[in-house]
Amino acid sequence: MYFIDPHIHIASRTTDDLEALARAGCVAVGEPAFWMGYDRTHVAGFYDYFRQLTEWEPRRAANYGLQHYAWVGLNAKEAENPTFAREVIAILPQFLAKPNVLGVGEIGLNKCTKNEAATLEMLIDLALRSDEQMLFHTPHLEHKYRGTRMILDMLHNHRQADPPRIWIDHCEEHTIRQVLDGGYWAGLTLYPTTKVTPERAVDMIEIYGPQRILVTSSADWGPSDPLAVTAFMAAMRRRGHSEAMIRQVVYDNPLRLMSQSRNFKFTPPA
Amino acid sequence: MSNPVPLGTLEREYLGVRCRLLELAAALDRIARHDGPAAEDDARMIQFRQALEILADREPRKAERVQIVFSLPVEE
Repeated sequence: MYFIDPHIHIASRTTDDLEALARAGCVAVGEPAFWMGYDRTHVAGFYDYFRQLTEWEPRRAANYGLQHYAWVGLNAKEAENPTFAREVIAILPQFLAKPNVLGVGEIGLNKCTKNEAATLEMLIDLALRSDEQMLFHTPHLEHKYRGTRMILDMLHNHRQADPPRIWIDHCEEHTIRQVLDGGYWAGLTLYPTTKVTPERAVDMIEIYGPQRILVTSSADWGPSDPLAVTAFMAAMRRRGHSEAMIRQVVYDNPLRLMSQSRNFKFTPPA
Repeated sequence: MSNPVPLGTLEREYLGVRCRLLELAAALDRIARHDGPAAEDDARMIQFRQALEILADREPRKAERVQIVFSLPVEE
């Protein structure tokens, strides 16, 4: 079965991973801008990173038959300094115009500080003014419950925000309900220790249904599995779920969300 | 040989234990959702509850005691 991994950090993965993804049936990937494991000290660091996501990684992925899409934004871990954040946000519009960019992301909160929230407001404002889709990173571990609530409250205050064009990512058992109830897309990221395992992702599909749920590897430079989506598919099959339902989650749903971006020009496999 | 510093071990084990507790909670939810209330009286569920009581108490030798919960009795 073909699948799409709409959240994977290709810049952190080897070409062997790209080949493995292609062999496993992956046809397209989405790569949101994120924290590369260290804080960048100059806006030029972000400029080069956004060029990598919009110029180099699409070419590298294409060598293995993978269609590559990106999201650009300022991640929450580097959002604490408002002056620096303003400089990074100022260069985003030129990258939002690149042909593989789907919207503003991943943006969000980390420790839920006032400065992070102020930066996030600027990013939401940019996305709404530009009519871009948004991809939100919700915080890790003990900060997730409060941070998710904060993000939903912020979005609630923006009347122009359109939930079906907003993806709230890294949902878990204690946050997914409020995200789906708000009409947003809920992302489940499959991590070995800190987020959701394939079996727990299947649980959430069984409880909430497959509508508006995205299952991704979010594979990056840390412990993570670029083929995690296939582990989820196997877990779904083990529990007796139909091929149609699996396809809805791993192919139709990402296609539906990504298709709402003006730059999404997907070529289905023949 | 001296014992490792307890807080260092807690630091190292925290995320893994947190993850396994979540997995355990999700598995129990799954059993309840799929098998319904009938599963509650199954002997294996009773074993689970006995094991969880051992995890929650403040006594040592937890792994050994949990193993005994899942073991056939030995005739003396």
